Amino acid sequence: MKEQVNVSGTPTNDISRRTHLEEAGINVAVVMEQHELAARSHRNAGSLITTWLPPLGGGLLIGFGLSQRSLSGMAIAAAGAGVMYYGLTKRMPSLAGGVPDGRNSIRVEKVVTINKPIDEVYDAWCDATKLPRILSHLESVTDLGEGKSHWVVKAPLGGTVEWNAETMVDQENRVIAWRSIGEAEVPNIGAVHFHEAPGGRGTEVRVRIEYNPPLGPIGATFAKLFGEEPSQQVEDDLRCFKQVLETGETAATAGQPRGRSQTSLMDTGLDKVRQVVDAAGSVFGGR
Amino acid sequence: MRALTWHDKHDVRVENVPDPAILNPRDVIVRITSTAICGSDLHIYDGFIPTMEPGDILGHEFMGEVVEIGPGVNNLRIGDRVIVPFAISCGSCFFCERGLWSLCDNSNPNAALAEKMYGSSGAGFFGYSHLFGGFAGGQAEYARVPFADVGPLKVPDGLADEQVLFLTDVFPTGYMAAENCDIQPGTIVAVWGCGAVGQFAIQSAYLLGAEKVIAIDRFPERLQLAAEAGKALTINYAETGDVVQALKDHTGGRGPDACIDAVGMESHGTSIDWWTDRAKQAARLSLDRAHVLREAIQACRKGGTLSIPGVYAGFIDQMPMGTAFAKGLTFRMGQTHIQRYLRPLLDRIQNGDIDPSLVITHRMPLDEAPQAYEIFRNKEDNCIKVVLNP
Repeated sequence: MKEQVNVSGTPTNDISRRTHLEEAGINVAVVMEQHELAARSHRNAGSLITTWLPPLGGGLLIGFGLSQRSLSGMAIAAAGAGVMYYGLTKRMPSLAGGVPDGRNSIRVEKVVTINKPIDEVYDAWCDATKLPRILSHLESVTDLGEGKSHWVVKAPLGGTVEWNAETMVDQENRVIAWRSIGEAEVPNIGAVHFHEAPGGRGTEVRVRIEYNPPLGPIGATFAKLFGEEPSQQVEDDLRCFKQVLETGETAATAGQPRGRSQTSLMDTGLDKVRQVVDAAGSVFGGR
Repeated sequence: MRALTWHDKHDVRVENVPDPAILNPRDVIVRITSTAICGSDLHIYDGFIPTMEPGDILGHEFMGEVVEIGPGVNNLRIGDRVIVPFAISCGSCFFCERGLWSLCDNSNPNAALAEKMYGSSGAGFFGYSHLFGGFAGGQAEYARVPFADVGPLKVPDGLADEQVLFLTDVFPTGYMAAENCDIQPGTIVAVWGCGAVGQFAIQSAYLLGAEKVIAIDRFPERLQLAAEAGKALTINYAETGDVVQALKDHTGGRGPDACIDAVGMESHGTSIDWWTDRAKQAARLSLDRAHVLREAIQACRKGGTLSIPGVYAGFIDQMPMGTAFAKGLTFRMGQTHIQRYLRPLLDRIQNGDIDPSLVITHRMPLDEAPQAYEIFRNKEDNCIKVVLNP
């Protein structure tokens, strides 16, 4: 199953995919072939028990987890989803390896225009070790030297995801591309492009990330429920990046006074609103 | 501190809440001396603005004294008397740089939510739902004002609160509505709705050189104010019935050159479209009733302009797009870019061209705000504008 996330609304196709990966210097064909071989050997090994037990057990776990109506219940349901995913696809949900597999990966693309000259925007992004102060979903970036760095990013339920990355392309005021190396929990590649916007409108910053979610597409949906899904993270963080560059601070209301509410906490209420607006958006926005 | 909080439709309360604190370098805290209830607050009161949460502090027309200053604000001092624009603007994004202050890119912390609803997010507003930022409002003893180096205007000595308070919203809103009419010599402007925004639109249209202003409402006290303070010709639609015909009669059969909808999403009418809107709104099938908008499209002269300061929030049905197209109308609308008008309108007040305090009918303490909402909503006691004093 190939899931593509594309927020700018334009349909993705193989040409843009190839261009994107080639920009990042990845040979897709080789990567995909390796994973196809691995998947085939999994499928050939199936028996009655190994074929039907995992989806059945996974389904039971999902049912039990959801019936708990709690965070731990959700975690159990998510684990069940992972087992079921494995059972149905004979793929391990998380694919250890340096770069994402071309078939199961999810693509995120976000773009924002920042009302600052291109060199200022590029310089701010370049200093990756300072990014965690701006980007709320980023825990830390450590420079390991020789174009390598260690990244720690927030994950659902207070967890983190870590990996080592190497910079593959760095052209001043144009593009920075990276990929995860070694045994990454979430294999990923990404690039950020800088373009001058027309008529003095500042700089367009376009981020593209491709990753293999832990637990596959079900894991991605799970992460989305908890607001720590890369598509949301990139959108939020790009907005923060823009705000800090343009205004020196990020718009905030946390900590302001409010009256006593007997019916609902603001956060749960806002979640409800988000779900409704999401639903409305998909109906009216044609997304 | 004491603050007016929203809990449910027609349920607002004054309660004790924590004092606001500086959260960002460019914040200040203002001790509020005067604060008003806006007609758009009634949309919240009536439950038509989505994403309100119980406990939210209302109010976006307030002024007061600076009592605390963030390290990023260099142009204000403790003790300065300021009026605070209802929209929060950063001053440095594409939109602020071009004077489109209410479309600021950077002041809404819930911009993602607004983007899902409207495609993109404008500025955050004080006390106007989480869709517009979830900022605590100014119907309170104190308020935190973000980007305070850009928004607030220092009030010169010698001017009373009531003379300048409406620079926060309704005066510039009426003025921008008139400015959007592109008034030329001979221009006749029709204004639907004679609340505070309508009154300021009427007077502003004359300040900008309109030949004649025709005011439409059904409340005698509002029409009387429009006629006496605003020098408008008035139409009481509850008596006249056919407003479009009446406007033709007053304009030599041409129709008004420009029409201002100073009513918005909760319009009232007597025709069949109003009743169907009302039913849909009651069933939550629609947020907005658009009777005035339709009538204005019908009435406007060919090639004329529709100026819409009245608030719309969602979708409208039975939009007579064919009429608007056939007549080649121009539509101008949106939240007011307050900062653009602060100094010019302050000059108008100081010159004596206009006295904004004329619209005030009620002065009440903050603790009586719930009654004030009820009186204002039901237009009891000839209420046009309420000012609250914390």
